[in-house]
Amino acid sequence: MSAGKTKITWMHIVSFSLATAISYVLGVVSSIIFPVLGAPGVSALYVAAAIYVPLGIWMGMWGALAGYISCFFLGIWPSGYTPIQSFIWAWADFLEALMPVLFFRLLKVNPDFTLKKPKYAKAMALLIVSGSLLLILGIGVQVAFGQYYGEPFTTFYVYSVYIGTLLAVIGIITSMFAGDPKTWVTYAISGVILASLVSGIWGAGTLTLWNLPPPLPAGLFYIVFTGWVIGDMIVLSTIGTALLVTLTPLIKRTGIYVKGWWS
Amino acid sequence: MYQSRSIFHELLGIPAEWSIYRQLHPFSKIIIPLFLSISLFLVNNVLSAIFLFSYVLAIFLLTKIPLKIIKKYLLIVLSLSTFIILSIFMFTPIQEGHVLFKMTLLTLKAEKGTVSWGVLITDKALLKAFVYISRIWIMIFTAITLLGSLSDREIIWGLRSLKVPYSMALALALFFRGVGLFLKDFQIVRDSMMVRGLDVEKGSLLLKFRAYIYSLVPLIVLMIRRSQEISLALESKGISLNAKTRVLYYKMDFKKLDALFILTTVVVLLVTLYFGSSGV
Repeated sequence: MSAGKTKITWMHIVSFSLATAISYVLGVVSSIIFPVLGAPGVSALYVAAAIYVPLGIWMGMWGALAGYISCFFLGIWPSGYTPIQSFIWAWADFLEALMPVLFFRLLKVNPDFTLKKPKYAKAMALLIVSGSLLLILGIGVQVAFGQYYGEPFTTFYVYSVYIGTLLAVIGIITSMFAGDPKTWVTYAISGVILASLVSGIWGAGTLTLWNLPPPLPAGLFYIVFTGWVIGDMIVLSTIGTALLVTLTPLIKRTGIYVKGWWS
Repeated sequence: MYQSRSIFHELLGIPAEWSIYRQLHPFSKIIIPLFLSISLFLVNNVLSAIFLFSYVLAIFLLTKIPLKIIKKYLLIVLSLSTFIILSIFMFTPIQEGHVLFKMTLLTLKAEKGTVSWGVLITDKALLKAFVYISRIWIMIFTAITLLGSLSDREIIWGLRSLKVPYSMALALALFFRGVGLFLKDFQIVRDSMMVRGLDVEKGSLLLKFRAYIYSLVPLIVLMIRRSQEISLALESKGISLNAKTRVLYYKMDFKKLDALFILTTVVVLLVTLYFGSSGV
């Protein structure tokens, strides 16, 4: 006998609403305690991301929606964006949570965050964050100076891109030894690197380039982008990982766990 | 009509006095800030910025939200303005117009020339900075008007009167309730940490960061427990997800005053469009 298709229940709706509330509260607190000055709503350590990205892994699309709605309200208060600016900006957090949802669901990865060797998980965080920081800095220097003035900026760009890529790749490989390789590699790629990058591009872009109207001048794109991506990577690879390791077994036993996209 | 506490009153404890604007239909109180948001997009020059700012300020004064609310946004306005000025005068300086001030701070010899970086202030750059900073004030006053005049109940009533599904309205109501609950929970968790000797307030950034990790686990466990209790309560009351409850306890009427406010805001939008495209 095959099990029937699971339907959406009140448990999904209620847990989604409460998860959105937690994400919002943490978003407000982190944008007040660790602000990126000049970019309201952006936090150097955006702790709310460590809630809705794991929620995406546990609750599928509900997690991504929680990210969107909490960010929408965060945009209005305390950031002070208009409802339309906030509507456009908030997709950054939706996309951030969507990345692991897509990867875990499409690749049919059953999340098993049992930690066998904790030191590898710590090394993964350090390597991925430092590698990405070098990579972003290198590209930034090349775009701003290297293409116009040549040396010494080009050499800095080449070295930082090579070393940065190498560190990030070693970080991904290291994650394989932390526990279940499929789960950890999928999380490192989609839940840490891609999630931060995609949300950073959309978030910084809507603050400086393509909102109605963007609250900041276009010249600040790269500064906001770098702060956003690195801040999110630190949070996702440390707090996000800690939450996934601690709570995944517990959540899998409750009704809020979603195997598919919505139920 | 029953006047419930505004979202700002709930979140920040700042009540607004009785005002004509607060008597408007929730739909009006949502659509007016939306029109103002669209108008903000049309602000391209000094004239349109001053015109829209005056209207937004008038609406804000009509809401009778205490002026002290602006204190909460002061850091945002100051930091944004500083970044805008730095960006326009230093990061990507505007070369057009009459030069008012010029100073080179750093020069570096490179392969294809010399990189020089410094401060460049032109009259065009000053006007651009003025427009950007005015937009920030308009943005902030629009957000304050929305949250200071509207209550969570009104949003739910508004949605129900627009025949939005019961489950969606309930989800939004739970979100608003959840914010208050988790703010209290977050405070309780932090207090219990301090009772155990972890002084988060005076601690380093690293300690604050660790304190977050410690406080998140109990918050999520509380969330799971509450979700189970509330969903079981809903199930046990026999409320299905597709419930079509048509009864509305509070009835709101769309009055002439609503039409007047909306019409005026539309006119303001059109005038801003005209001023914005005039190139003054």
